[in-house]
Amino acid sequence: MQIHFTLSGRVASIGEGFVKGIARIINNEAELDKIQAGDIMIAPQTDINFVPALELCVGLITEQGGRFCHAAIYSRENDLPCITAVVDARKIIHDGAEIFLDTNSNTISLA
Amino acid sequence: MDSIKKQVKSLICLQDQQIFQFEHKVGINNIIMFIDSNKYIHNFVPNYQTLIRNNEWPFSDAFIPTYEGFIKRFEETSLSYVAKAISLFGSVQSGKIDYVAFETAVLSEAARGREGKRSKIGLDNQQEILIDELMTLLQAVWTPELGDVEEKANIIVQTVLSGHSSAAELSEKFVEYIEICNEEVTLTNLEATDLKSGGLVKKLLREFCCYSLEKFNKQLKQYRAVYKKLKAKAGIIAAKRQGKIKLTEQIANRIDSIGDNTSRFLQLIKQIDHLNFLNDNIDVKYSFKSWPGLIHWTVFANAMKRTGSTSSITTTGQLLLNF
Repeated sequence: MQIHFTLSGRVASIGEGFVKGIARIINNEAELDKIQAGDIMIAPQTDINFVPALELCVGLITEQGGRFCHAAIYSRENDLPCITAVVDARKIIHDGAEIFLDTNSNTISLA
Repeated sequence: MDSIKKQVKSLICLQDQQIFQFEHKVGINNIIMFIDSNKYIHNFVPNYQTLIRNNEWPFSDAFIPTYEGFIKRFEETSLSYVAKAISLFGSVQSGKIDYVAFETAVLSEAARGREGKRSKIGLDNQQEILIDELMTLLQAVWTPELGDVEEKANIIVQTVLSGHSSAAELSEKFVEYIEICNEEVTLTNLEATDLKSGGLVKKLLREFCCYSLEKFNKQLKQYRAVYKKLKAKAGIIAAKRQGKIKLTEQIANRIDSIGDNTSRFLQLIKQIDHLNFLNDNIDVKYSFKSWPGLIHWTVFANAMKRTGSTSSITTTGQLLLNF
């Protein structure tokens, strides 16, 4: 069972500011098929191969990455809410949990 | 941005020349067959990153180069990294990876890493130095009615102003391919689909799909699913870029009206844009995350297999001696 949590990292792109979606853990490129429209992707980092899957997402959370990483550049260009450098996001957030991503307050929490 | 555009076009042209020669010499079908049968194709990027981070590479980071010095070194290294991948292709394809191949790959990666994003004297560090100077310049002329200085600066410096981001280019090219052709590509129809699509197939293969037809067809399927959304979005990103260019001009005028440092402001914007382009375009297509990286990785993986190591190849130098 998913326990309550509040996580934060580095806001890479504000986008809509506050979104709700299904957390989808993507450990690597091979798992991108799991992504459905309306998901919030949680990945160690992203690269060019993630682009079509990101088009389906309402938000993005990565464990790594600075201000010039792919996730930050893509999300800024596409106004996708994105928080990077969220330590252990894939361990703490369960796949399939309904979560809030709030880039105004730099918080990720259980819906 | 004309001088920057010219310089990056020249680098792309030189990269393409050596890649076209490689394709001509080896045959694109041979390259594709090798890549699609390479067992590392689907996971080499994260493994390569682990290797980069777990090893000490033979270069000094004692001296931070100037912007001009960095650009020169980055371009030379980028060209050399692709050239080395091409030179290693034969050994990797035949499975005859020897000491010379290994040393070539280690030195090539060391040079690439020196200019790379995580290096203390690399790409991100150069960006940070220029952005710090830009912020100092802006803060000196800023007044509260202009809004939040950091927010405005971020809008300018975090976007490629002079051209496409690689993600936008990739999406645009796949949308174009779907409109023109929309067929899965095989070795049999490769030439025909490439011709029909005006060269899009080979461009997408070499620049974004590591020469893998499997990757190409998988991406095609994914892009079909978001085709309508991307069509609806077309033009929005370009319009946003224009808005950012306008904002840059407004700020330049503001600085000009105070009569100080306009030329340095505009120069900084150009230089930051140049680095953004290298980061978001050149580094994506010609660095370790693309097919040259797969060639290098295959050499490293082979070396690790021989020595029983899971992540280390250079730390002690023993591998070089024992290989």
